[in-house]
Amino acid sequence: MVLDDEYLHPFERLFAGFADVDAEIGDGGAEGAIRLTAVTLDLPIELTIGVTAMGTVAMAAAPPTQHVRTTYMPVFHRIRMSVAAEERNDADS
Amino acid sequence: MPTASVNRPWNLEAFIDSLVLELDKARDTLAVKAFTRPSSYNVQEAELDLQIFPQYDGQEVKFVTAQPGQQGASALKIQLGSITARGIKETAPDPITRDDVSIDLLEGIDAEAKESLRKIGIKSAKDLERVEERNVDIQKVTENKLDYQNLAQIINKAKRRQVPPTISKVGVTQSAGEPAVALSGQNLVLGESLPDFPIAMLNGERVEVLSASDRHLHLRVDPAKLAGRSSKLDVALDPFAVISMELYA
Repeated sequence: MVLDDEYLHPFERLFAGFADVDAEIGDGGAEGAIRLTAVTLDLPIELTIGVTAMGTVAMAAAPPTQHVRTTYMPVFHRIRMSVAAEERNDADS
Repeated sequence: MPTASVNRPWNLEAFIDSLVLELDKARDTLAVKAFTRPSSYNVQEAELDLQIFPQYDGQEVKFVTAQPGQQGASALKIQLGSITARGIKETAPDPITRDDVSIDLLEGIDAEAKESLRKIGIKSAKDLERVEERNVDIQKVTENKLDYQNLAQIINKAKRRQVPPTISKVGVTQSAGEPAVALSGQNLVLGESLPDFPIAMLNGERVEVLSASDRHLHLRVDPAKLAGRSSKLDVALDPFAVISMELYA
């Protein structure tokens, strides 16, 4: 299903991009390592919801594409995500 | 490929279906990354606030997404629960392998039917085989858009495009104590060989296929019939792959 919008992207890419945290500094040697424990995102997004003739829905989204105030601003929806470090468990690795 | 038009009312169920599909794809992406980089982070919570206008026609509630310049939109809040990285590894299906075919690549199935398959968790030919083993009525779940037989044909066609057959050698050999013409090559028979195939014709006459595998094909042909003349051999490996060759002996 196609959403004809050159500025917005499939929602899954946006979500996976926000959720893809990889932040570990150092190797845990004598000085230890710094580990990010949580990231919280709270940001406006532009979102298009399209409907096909069959009634199914397609979504496309992007962070705000317009940074200058104009007479007609895009509608900003909102996404909040909290990404946190899991408890370490050597058996999992 | 059907195009979705904006500014049309949508119902909550269709939106949730679409959101679940999108999150499923995001989960698959993260699961593939987890192969190379053990992830130790997870999405604890996510919330989506949509600016919408509800509509009610006396039978059904629908929503229209707010457009630029419109005032007084309502908020639709959708809260998503947590899934751990371990949960992703345990619940995400294995990524599609080279010998498999993604439903997305199949031609001859419309986008709506593909979405019906995705909704029930079928993303590849192997998923479909698992569902068939459990006797799931695919016609019911796809609202009569598909059945196993036409899907098998479409999948075989797609697989044939990915793995075309090649012949590297033709010779005479012994098969079950009888002389036979042996063809060697690659991808001669796909894993799911169709009944009645391969079919071989020598100079327009059907010849028996003694054995067939991915790399070898043995045909019951008296080598004496080939001596001193040019012969035309045609082999239909499946409905989508036919090889023809001239043999000189």
